[in-house]
Formats: sequence, C-alpha cells, structure tokens
Amino acid sequence: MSKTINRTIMKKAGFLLAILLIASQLSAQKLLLVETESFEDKGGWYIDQQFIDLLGSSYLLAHGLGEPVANAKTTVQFEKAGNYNIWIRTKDWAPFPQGPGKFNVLINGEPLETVFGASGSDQWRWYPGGTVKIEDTSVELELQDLTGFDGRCDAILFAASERYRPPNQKEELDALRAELLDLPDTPEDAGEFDMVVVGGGIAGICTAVQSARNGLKVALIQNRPVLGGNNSSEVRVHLKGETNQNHYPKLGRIVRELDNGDPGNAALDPKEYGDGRKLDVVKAEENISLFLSTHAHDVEMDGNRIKAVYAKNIETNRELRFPGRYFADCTGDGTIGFLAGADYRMGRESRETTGETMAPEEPDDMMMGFSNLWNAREMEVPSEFPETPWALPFSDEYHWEITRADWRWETGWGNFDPITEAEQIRDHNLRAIFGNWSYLKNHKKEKYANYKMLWVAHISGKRESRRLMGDLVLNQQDLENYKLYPDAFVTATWDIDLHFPDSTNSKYYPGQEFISWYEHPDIKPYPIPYRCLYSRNIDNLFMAGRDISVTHVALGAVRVMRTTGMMGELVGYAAYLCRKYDTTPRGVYQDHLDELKYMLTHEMIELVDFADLEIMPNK
Amino acid sequence: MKHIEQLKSEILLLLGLGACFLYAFHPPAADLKKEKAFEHYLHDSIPMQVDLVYDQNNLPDHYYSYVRSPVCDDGLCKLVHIKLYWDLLGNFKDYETPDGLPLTKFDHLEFTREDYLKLTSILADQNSLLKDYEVDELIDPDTEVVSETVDAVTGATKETVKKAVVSGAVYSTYVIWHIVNGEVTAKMQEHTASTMNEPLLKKFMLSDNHHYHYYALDQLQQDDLTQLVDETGTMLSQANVFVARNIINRLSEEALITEAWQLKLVELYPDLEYQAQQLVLDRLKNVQLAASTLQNLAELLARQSARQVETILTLMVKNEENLTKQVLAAIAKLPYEMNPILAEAGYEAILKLNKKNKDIKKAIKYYEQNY
Repeated sequence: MSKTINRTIMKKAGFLLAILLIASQLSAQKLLLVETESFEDKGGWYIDQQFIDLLGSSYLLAHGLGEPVANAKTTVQFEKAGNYNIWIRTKDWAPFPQGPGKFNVLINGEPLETVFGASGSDQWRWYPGGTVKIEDTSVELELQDLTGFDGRCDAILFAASERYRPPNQKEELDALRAELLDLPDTPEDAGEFDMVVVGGGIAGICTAVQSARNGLKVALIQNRPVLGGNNSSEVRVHLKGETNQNHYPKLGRIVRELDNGDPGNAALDPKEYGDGRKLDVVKAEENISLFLSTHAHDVEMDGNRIKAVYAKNIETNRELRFPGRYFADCTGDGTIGFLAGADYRMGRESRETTGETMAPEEPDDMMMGFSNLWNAREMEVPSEFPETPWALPFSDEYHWEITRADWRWETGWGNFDPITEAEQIRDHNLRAIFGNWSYLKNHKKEKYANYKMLWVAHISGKRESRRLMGDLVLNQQDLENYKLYPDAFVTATWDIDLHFPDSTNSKYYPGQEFISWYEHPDIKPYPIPYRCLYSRNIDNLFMAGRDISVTHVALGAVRVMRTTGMMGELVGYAAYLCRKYDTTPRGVYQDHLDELKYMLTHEMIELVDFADLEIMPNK
Repeated sequence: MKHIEQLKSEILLLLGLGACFLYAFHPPAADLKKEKAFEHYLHDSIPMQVDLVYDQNNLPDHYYSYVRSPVCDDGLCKLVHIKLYWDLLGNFKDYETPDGLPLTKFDHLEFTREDYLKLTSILADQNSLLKDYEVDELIDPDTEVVSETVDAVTGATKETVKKAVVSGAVYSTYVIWHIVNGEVTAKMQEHTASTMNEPLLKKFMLSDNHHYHYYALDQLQQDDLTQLVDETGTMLSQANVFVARNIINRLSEEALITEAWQLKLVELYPDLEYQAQQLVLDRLKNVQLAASTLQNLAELLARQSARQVETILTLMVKNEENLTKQVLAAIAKLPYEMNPILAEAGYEAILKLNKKNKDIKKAIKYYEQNY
C-alpha cells in the first residue's frame, strides 16, 4: 500500500506541480510542440521507441544506410501569426568528433539556417533554430535528412517569447509534453482483462495465445508495429532450441504455429521471419485484444499486486490503462517487474553466491550484449560507400571480411548499461558495422566494389538485462546435474551459451568491444521448473522470456526463443488455473500442480467458462 | 554446435597479418639488386633458396624465393612452381607463377582468377585453420572423387576446411601455405635483424607497413623518440589507428614537454582518428604547454566534440599564463556560439580564468542573460 501511495501520489504530485508551473507560463509563452513521431507523413524516417523510457517519447530516425531518406512532413496550425523562436530537440549520435546524422528543418519548404545533428554532443537537448516569421497560421514542417546515417529528431517547439528556454530535464519535459499535447490526466481503460501480457516477442505471443485458448480475456501489448520481437523482421534472429524433447509434448504447439522456417540470422527477405504468420495466429484468438505500437511504462499497485499497467502509443503518446487480474512480463527487460518493485538481478553473480563454477569470483556488470544484424549482397554494378571518420576505426591490421552479420556482432557487456545506455549500445553497433563496411568498400575495392549494404537492423536484438527473481532461481548445477524438480516442465535444449568479448577484439578496442566469443558447455535437455516463471514478491506477476528467474550462467541455456515460447505456453496454462481457483501463480505451484500436469498430459480438457464471471473482482 | 559451424564460416577474417599488401604490392623490377640471404630446406630435404631484394636506395626491401615443391594427392604427385614474396619480417606479400607453369587443381584444371585471389587471401592469413591441421585431416575419408583424366582417386574436402582452401586444390593450398608461413619466416626475421641499421630502421618508420612500425617502435629508445620528431611524426601520420595510439602512448613527458613535439602533435591532430586525438589531449594534460601550442589548439575548437572542447579549454585554463591575446579573444567568443555545446563549454571555461578582461566579462554577462 505504502509503495502504491508513494509511487502514485508522489509522482502525480510532482507531475502536477510541474504542470502548474509550466501552465502558468504557457499562456504568456504561446508554445507549440510538435512531436516528430506524430508527423503525418514519416517519409523514409522510422519511429524509434526503443529508448522511450529515457526520453519520454519516441523519435524519428533517418536510417538510410548512407543514403538520405525521404523527408518527413506534417502540417501544423498556429493560433496566431507572428515571430516564433524555434527549438529542435536532437543529439549528435556519434560525436567522434562530430557525427554524420545531419538534417535540416524546413518551414514551408525553406530550411532553417542551422544544420542539426552534428553538434559534437550525444546528450539529448534542445537546440536553438533561430526566429521564424509565421504569416499563414497553417505551416508545413519537414525534416530533411542530409546523409542517411541515422540523424534523429525528437521534437520541434515554437515559442512566441524570445526569452523562453525549453526544459531539458525529463520530468519537466514530460509535464510540458502532457500539457502542450493536451494529454488527459486520467487515461482511459483499454478494457478489463484476466491477463495482461506485456511484450509481443515469441514468449509474449505464446503466453497470450495459450491464455486466450484457455478462456482468459487477454491484452497483448507490444511496443513495435510488428509482433515477434527478436524473431521479427525488424531484428531477424532465427528461432533456436528444440520443441520436441519435452516431458510434456503439448508444450511447443504454439511455437510451431509461429515458426516460419529457418532463414538463419539476418536474411535479406523480411518475409522469411513470418511477421504476418504471427499476427494471424494472434488475430485468430477472439479473447486477445492486441495493442501494437503501445509501450508499457508504468504500473498501478495494490500492495504486492499489480492492479493495472499504463501504456502509451509510440506515435501519438496517448495513454491507456490496462487493469487486469494477472500480468505477464514478457518484455525481456523485466520492465513491468521493475516498475512493480519485483526482486531482480542484473549482471553476474559471484561464485560464492551461486556456487557455480562458471560464475566469477566477484559479482560484476558483465552481461551478454545486443546485436544489430546486417546483410550486404553482391550486385551487378559497383557502388560507393563513404568514408566514416565518426565510426569505429578499421585498418589493414584489423577488419572483418564478411558480408552478413551473425551472432558475433554484439555490443554491451559491462561497458554499457543495457537499460539506461541502450541507445549508446545500438549506436556503438552501428559505428562498428558502418566503420568496417566503409573499410571494405574503400580499401578492398577489388573485392567489395559490387557489394551493397542492403539491410542493417535499427532495432537491437537484446540477450540480457534484468532477471526477475522467482521462488526458484535456476543455476548451473541444476542444468549440469540434471536436477529434476517436481515442477519441471519446459525443456531447455540449448547449451550453456554465454557470450563475452572476443579477446582479439578486446585488444584492439578495449572497453569498446563489438565482437563476441562464447563458452559453450553441453548439457542434456533440461526441464525448467515452473517456479522460475513467477515473481517471488509480486503476487500476480508471471514472467516468460529472458527475464525469468535464473542466474546469469543459467540464462545461457534458457534464452533461445523456442524455449522462451514454451515458457509462455506454460504460463498460459498456469494463468488458467489461477483464474479458475482465484489464486496466485505461487498458489498454482502449492495447490494445483497436479492439475497443471494433468492439463499438459491430456487432450480434450473441459475448461471452465469464465465468460459469465466478473473479470475484475476489485476494479 | 552452431558456434563451431559459424566459426568455420568466418575464417576469412584477416587479422592484419600481412593482408595489407595483397593488392598494393607489385613484384620488383628485374634490375633490382638481389642476393642470396640463406638456404632453407622443406621437409629437411628440398632446398629453397631465399633471396634478399634491395630497393633503389640499396636498402633491403623484401625476400623472394622461387619454390619447386612436390604436391602429392593420394599417390598422384606433381611439381608446383611458384614465386613467393615476403616483406622483411617474413609476412607474405604476393606470389606469381612462372610463364607456362600455372597452378592447377584436381583433374589438371587451371586456376581461375578467383582461385588466384582466394589463394592470395589464404596465404596472407597467418591464423588460417590450415595451421592446426595435418594434411590427411583435410579430406573426408568416407567419400571418393574419381578423376576422369588421370588414374587417381581422392576424397571430398571436409566441410570445415572448405573456406580455408582453394576448391579442388586442397593439397596445393595446404603445402604452399605451410611453405609461406612456416619456419622460413623466422629465418627471415633473423636475417633482417642481422642487417638492421639506422637507415633501414628509418625506412621501417617511414613505411606504411604496420609490422615495420611495431618493429621500429620496439627498437627505438625513449631518447630516439624524443629526438626523431619528424620521422616519428611521419610514422604517426602514416600509421594505422592502432599503431598511432601506440606511438602516442610511448611518448615520454620529456618528449611532450618540448615545443617541437607539442607543435607536431597539434599539427597532426586534425587527421588523427578520434581515440588518438583523445590520447593526444590526455597526454598534454600533464605538461606545460607553449603559447604557440595553445594558439594552434584554439584554432581547432570549432571542429571538436563536446568532450574535446571541454578538454582543450581545460588545457587553456591550466596554462592561462601562456595564453596570447588572440587565444583569449577566441575563447571569449565561444559564449556567443549558436551551438549551445560550444557556448556552454566556453562560458564554463572563462569563469575559471583568473584574469578576466573586458571581452570576457562581456561574454559572461551575455551568456548569463541568454541561457
């Protein structure tokens, strides 16, 4: 309760205070805010929501692989003609010393004098764009990319007062956005749900579909326009792990429905990853309400229970409330657990803590990293690629002669925090990819003149961040000694696959590694216990995916997507029993484990029809 | 097992072990001076004469050998003729075949252009998988490929080594790789060491060969580095990024305190790679900077990252007594910059100056009123 009061009241109070302060200035200041992600025509720019929790909103990204993308455009209405100071919120993403992400802002087709995106600083902030005279109150705004190298713009602000300075601090900025975009203080309810699943990767889809097929009313919230997460066409990691080695063969059925064949990593044809197939599987379920492009960013608590999740549209910033009985954190980052105050770990535990031989002597921040996969193809005609002085440097002494990325292109480790420095990690990957490619294209022309970079993921594929703690924390000994728990269900078939920086790469890029190597001890197929799939201190929170209750070492074996999908399926069964007996995920383990096993070993099970029951006992 | 498979697919990774010269190197003109350096024996029996070839300044330039070696493929033997070239430290540079004696593959097929290019890449890769294989391990014994033209049978190349060999020429690739990257390279290094003198060391420094750069750096004493400003500076400007960082790290404070080195570093700075630039600035933090150095640094300010601007301005404040009027004027302009990063950094810096002239006071006032 106290936590709820603290979180909600204190936060709202701070927010309201900020709004009051700003609102009192607004009428005098005459401000007009345009969030770029809301532009009517995005042109060739992408909406990037990956760092929304840090920035407060999405932004537009000119990811053109070195070729300028088409202009993004929108029309804005001013209340009054006059002179306005214009402010552009952006950053220089590669200040080494000055980055390539240059862009112009056009007002009625005319560029401002200042070119943005190459200031030399990678801090997001407002940059002055001078004074513009607005004569007609309807104005066309454009973002004109100048390089195709990932220039980015968060928002544009017009201020009638010369003295006005827009805030750079997130809380003030959030308040300003809410006020100027006229966002409601109290978001609407998106519905009433038995199960709210956050995260539309393979684990999230399977959780939602299995829950729905068991009769639960489900909300599936995904912060990208497509489903599939790391296996979507946006990231292009192939499905790994086996589905046919289960003690409970019913697990894996939904995974198989989603499986679109194996194109490997980073295939050029996006269709090979089956975004449409996944969407069809979800849309076939009447019990699922699907919310794409919707990012969960807050929770409402009632003691140790989550009462609702708040999520906003990544394009419009409109917020919705998702009340539910049960919640599944399939975000990968453990976002919902973190917001709810769930116990979690990040990084490597010490050997003393876990007793694992693969754990380090001392705990540290080492985690597996992010990959931004890429692919180039040999074309009939030669093409140019510019020199990239802002990228990582390559030379005759060190470069990679390959034309398609694989799992080894990876950044993060302990060098960057996977939550608070996620944008730097993605950008570091881009600097490695473009730097190496530029080296091959300009210094190995006889071999690579006809190769063209055709695809680089701007969405990172993450391997590790927060791990939410359950009643059981799976470890190396469990996996290696084949410790069979009474609640053993989902079979992990992968090795203990832990990545760390490649030693040669470390020699040349100390602290800035982008190539990985691995430890890979084999294990027998191992059934993961159910108790790893719910939070030990948040009563109605399940997990499925890479954020389940495992040590860093054990994560190496459970993190591949066919395995995480089966976790979701198991959660879908457990959620049904929760609903049937009005109990908690822990209650299912304590009192209904036999029934869970029965459900997983028998066909034609008669399900309770929840349709007539009230969904929310305590709204 | 995915990693093993992927590892195998990545053997084209070239870690700078000679790969740099593949396309830049041209076999020498016939009239260059050449003399026998030493004789080497392949398999303790086949003689291989290694010549040292000199440049037009009569300095050692590279090693050369005309090799005739048998290559046997399950009982079918042939004599391979190949002209090999190495740099002075035994790094493979290039190869040629004598007229009328092309390299051939299984069934006497001649090498294609792609095969020649591939063999060049393979030979330049000192970390090739071939290093750790016995020749018999390259072929899958469970398969058979029967020649249509000669009386011979061979097995199929194992999947694991396919990318490490020229297709259809497994044994030739293996044999030539081991000649090129075998014990002969150590003998070349020994021979070069025995001929090393100051002119050759300077040739190494002024080259664009990173192996030569590292070798030269290992030979040079601190005093040499301090004295040889121009030669070391040229090496720094021509070196790849990793060598450049190495050079900057090796400079002693005795070198850095000299105006000659300070000016050289600032002169080269704009063309250095970012990390090397950072290193230069970091190294200059610990020494007193000359007025001319500060003047030249001030001229760089507009093209720097925020972090570099901050570091340069810290150097300015620290060496305030050596700031000329022109430099002070340049700093005083920063708070008026449209780029708020420069403006902010300039404002923060001038606040720390002990002496504040009229322009500086005006700039402080302007910034405080406008930001």
